[in-house]
Amino acid sequence: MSWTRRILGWRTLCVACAATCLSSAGLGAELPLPQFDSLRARASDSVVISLDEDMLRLAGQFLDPSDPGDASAKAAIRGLTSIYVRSFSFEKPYELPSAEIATLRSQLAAPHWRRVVQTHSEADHSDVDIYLAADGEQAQGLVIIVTEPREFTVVSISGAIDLARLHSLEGHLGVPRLPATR
Amino acid sequence: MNADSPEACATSWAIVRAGDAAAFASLVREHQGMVYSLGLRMLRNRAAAEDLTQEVFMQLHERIGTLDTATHARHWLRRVATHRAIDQLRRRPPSSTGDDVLSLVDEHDPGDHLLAHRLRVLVGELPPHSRAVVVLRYQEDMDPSEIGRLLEMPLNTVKSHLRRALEVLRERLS
Amino acid sequence: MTHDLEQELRRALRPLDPSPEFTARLLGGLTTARDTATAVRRPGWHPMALAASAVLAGVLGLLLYQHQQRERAHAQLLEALSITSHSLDRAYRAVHWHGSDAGEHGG
Repeated sequence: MSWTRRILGWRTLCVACAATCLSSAGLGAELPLPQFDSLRARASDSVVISLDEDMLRLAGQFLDPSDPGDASAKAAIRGLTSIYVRSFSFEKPYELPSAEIATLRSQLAAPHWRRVVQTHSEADHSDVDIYLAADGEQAQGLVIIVTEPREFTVVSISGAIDLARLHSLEGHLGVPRLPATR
Repeated sequence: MNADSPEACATSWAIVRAGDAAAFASLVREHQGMVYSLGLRMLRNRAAAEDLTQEVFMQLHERIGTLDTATHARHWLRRVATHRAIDQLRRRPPSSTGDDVLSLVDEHDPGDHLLAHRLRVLVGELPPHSRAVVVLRYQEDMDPSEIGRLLEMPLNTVKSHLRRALEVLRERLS
Repeated sequence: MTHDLEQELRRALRPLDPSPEFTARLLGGLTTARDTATAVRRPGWHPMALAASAVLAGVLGLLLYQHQQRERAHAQLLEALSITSHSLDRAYRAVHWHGSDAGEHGG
């Protein structure tokens, strides 16, 4: 497998996100995602989730601190102000909707957004990009874009982001952790 | 009256609800395999599966008057058995009783027993909700929307669990 | 491949009956429970019980709706977090495993 990537350094990324930051409002790091209706219409599976601050609070009330998965989730969302997810799977190769992608890219071209991870795999023709919105040393927004031949996923999170904590959730939330790719 | 006609079924169910012992025993025999297997696949422990089966049927016995039809009773049994198993896994997962339980061989099945055993082990290693989704899909042949209603889970969440569980199983088998 | 795996899963997860000894114990236990069960009926409760039930049904209906809303939000939250974690893990594996090839930039 060959990968090309331009990265900030995973540990540096985690430290930057863990730096104290309690408000993303001033920076405008909340980035609601388009609905991608054209992709949804062609997808075999789709996940479209939009959780603003009120919905996150409502959802958090249902987390059981005595359950390890829920406790991890509760810690991960502490200080977050929004989570948007758009994830689509296809049975055949698809085309990304140019207008919505262009809008997303133009939002991410704003001065406070920086692409900190860019990976490409020749083996499975997949790309993963991670963007951070930072005000000085403080990370307030996170966008992850995963593009594969049969799957497209965008995640947008704003607030006090703990990247290491978010990364470690897989395997704790009732979703099986994928084995390492060789 | 045809034994399989709606009228016959309704009459049979009325007899069960009225407390007829033989009718209830017949109901138990009809559904015990489903309840026991749900418990066994979820809890991976024969004694725990038997305990769960007993508790579920005791509860059915108390609630029989609230269930309108035999189909309703089957749905109820599936729902209660699955939720009890998930609750038990989250509170205090029983230890697996190992290969002798999970590799019960069906002499009538001409398929690959080793593969079947391996799959049962791998399914038993999935997290509780993923495990429930897989068991309900492939043991009970429920479709994702039915599974979502039973588990009180959004349809897309069910599909995600299913997709990722299959990915994991495929990876681990290879 | 998926279809084969699904077929194999159906085969592997076919329902099994418990042992005949267990079935006998189960049915014996249920017989005992039926024989010892008692029903208590108090005359004159029915009109009050009906009125109270109607009020309770309304309250329970509202509580159920609110409960379902929270459950839905809860399920969506966990789904969103799991997709986020999975996506980060993909990037992490790409960065981590090939960090030794060319060294990490920045830092």
